[in-house]
Amino acid sequence: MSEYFTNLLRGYPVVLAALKAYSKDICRNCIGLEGAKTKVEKGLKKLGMDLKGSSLPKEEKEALLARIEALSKEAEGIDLSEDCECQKTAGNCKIGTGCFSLGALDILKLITEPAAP
Amino acid sequence: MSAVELLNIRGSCCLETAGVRQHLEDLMPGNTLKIFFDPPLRQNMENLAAEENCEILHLADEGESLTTTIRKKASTTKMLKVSPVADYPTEEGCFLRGNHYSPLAVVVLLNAPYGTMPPEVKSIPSEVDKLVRSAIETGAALSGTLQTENIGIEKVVCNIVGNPNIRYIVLCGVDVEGHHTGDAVRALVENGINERRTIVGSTAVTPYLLNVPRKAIERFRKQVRLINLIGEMNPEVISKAVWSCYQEKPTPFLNYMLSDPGAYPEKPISCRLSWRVKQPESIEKWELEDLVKGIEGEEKAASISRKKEVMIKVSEPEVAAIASHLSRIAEELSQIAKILLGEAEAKAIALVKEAPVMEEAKPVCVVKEEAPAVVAPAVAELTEEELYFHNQLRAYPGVLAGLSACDKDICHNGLSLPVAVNSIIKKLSKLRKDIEASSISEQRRAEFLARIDGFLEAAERLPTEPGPCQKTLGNCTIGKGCLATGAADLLKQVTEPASLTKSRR
Repeated sequence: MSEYFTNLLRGYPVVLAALKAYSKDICRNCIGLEGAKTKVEKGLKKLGMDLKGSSLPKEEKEALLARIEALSKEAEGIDLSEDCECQKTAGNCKIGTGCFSLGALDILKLITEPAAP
Repeated sequence: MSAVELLNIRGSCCLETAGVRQHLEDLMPGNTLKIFFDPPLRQNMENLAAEENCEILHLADEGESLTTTIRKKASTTKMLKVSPVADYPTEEGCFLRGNHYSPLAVVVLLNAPYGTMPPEVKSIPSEVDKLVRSAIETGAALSGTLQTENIGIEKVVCNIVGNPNIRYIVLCGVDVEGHHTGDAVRALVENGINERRTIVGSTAVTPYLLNVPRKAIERFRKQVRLINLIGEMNPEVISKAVWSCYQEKPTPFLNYMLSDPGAYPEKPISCRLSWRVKQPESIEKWELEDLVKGIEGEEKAASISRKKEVMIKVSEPEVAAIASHLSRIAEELSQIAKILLGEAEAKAIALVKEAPVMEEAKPVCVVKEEAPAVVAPAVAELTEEELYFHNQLRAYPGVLAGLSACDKDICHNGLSLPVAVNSIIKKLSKLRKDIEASSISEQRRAEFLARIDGFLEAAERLPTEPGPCQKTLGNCTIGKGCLATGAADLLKQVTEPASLTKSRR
């Protein structure tokens, strides 16, 4: 069961690093990054809840929870402007239909095994 | 043929006591009453006929008495109309206001990708705009667009319950892709919400109504009847629906029988969105229960405190004391205001005096307090070719940060990370060559090349020597996906301008 949590926790640092990098671009003012940040925060919260409710040994659980906490703090620290709006709508982002923040978030979808307990 | 009744009240001194009023009241529309009466009552008879919505068809003097034939006019049903709440419509939105005594509101579904419209929805599609306008012109109380299955519907609820005259919602337009907002409205009217404040039986993704009181939602459902025209884009059909809704007599429209039933017989509810949940679309199902508990707890507490406020009794001497305190506060506030106004005026004068000097010294510029670390050029200033390079370069910080994160994991000794890094280095080198060969301005070229140098430096710090695949070794068990490849794939988010060759054309 711990493999499920470990694998998911391997994805978050990659996502967070990318989001942090994009927060230095115009994405800082964008609802795309705002949404991705929220999703990451919530995903980590849910992972923590699932972990607490799991039957993993206490020590292992604590170690994983500490990682989740560290990642949550990192997510919280992602810099965002107070009033975000879609930068495509605002005419500032012209990369096409894609979105860096949502693309970064999608990295988590690469983790497909093991299935959720 | 209408019936004629006869009434002889000769000798009576008063129409009321002779029962004329009662007869006129009971008279069926279109029926006539022939009355024989004495001449002194003529004026009273005329007045009474008018009061009772009757018309005098014939009045003849027959010597000592008068004869009149009175007909009841066509039915003018007494229809109750009431005033909406003072701040109606309580919620802002993309809608037009019509006559607030009208019994219907028109909701046009706005099928545009969420977030593509500016807040004031300047670029509303013309066919949607036509529907909205034709509904108002035909007589709707409110007519506007609806896009989201949560906040959008909540705004509709607030504006409807604030006006009890609105008894119908005409729902039209193409349903919103991905949101299924039209279906959510249908389900809300039909089934309401459950204990998790989720619309029952809706196919929408996040049909959560978390910002309006439950009682407003229940009232909305009782107050209105839905005229479901989802998919209908013909303004004539919508106008017909609107017209049918305000008819006094039942009027068939498609499968509906419509008429104005008058105002909903309860007081209007003034409510606004609480904005406790600003982004319901990001709510996960597992969060809902706790969230709803919190919201309903707050609602209960608020209602108790409101009740308590009502219970406070203040004696007359206390009222006098409070009034005297308030007047003192008002005086002090007015003095503060005078001081501030004086200062403001003085500052304004100083600014006017300084203005020409300031204009010469500094061009006007707006600097955000927390500017992003990388100050990107405004895309409007870029040529198509420059935009191509600019967009490509925007992807790399995230890619390299993602790859660096992989480097701290088992990917460090693996195969995919170095492969991804080498590919990134190649792409950056190619981009460098393209920039060097381009016809962009020297300033931009230098700016772009400096950024590429920085990226290459970062990329070269990452592993470039392929090791064994960590999946093959059994160390990486995440499935078929690969985190390093995923990070590198962020480059694929950039699809415009299509290619350098095209951008050069």
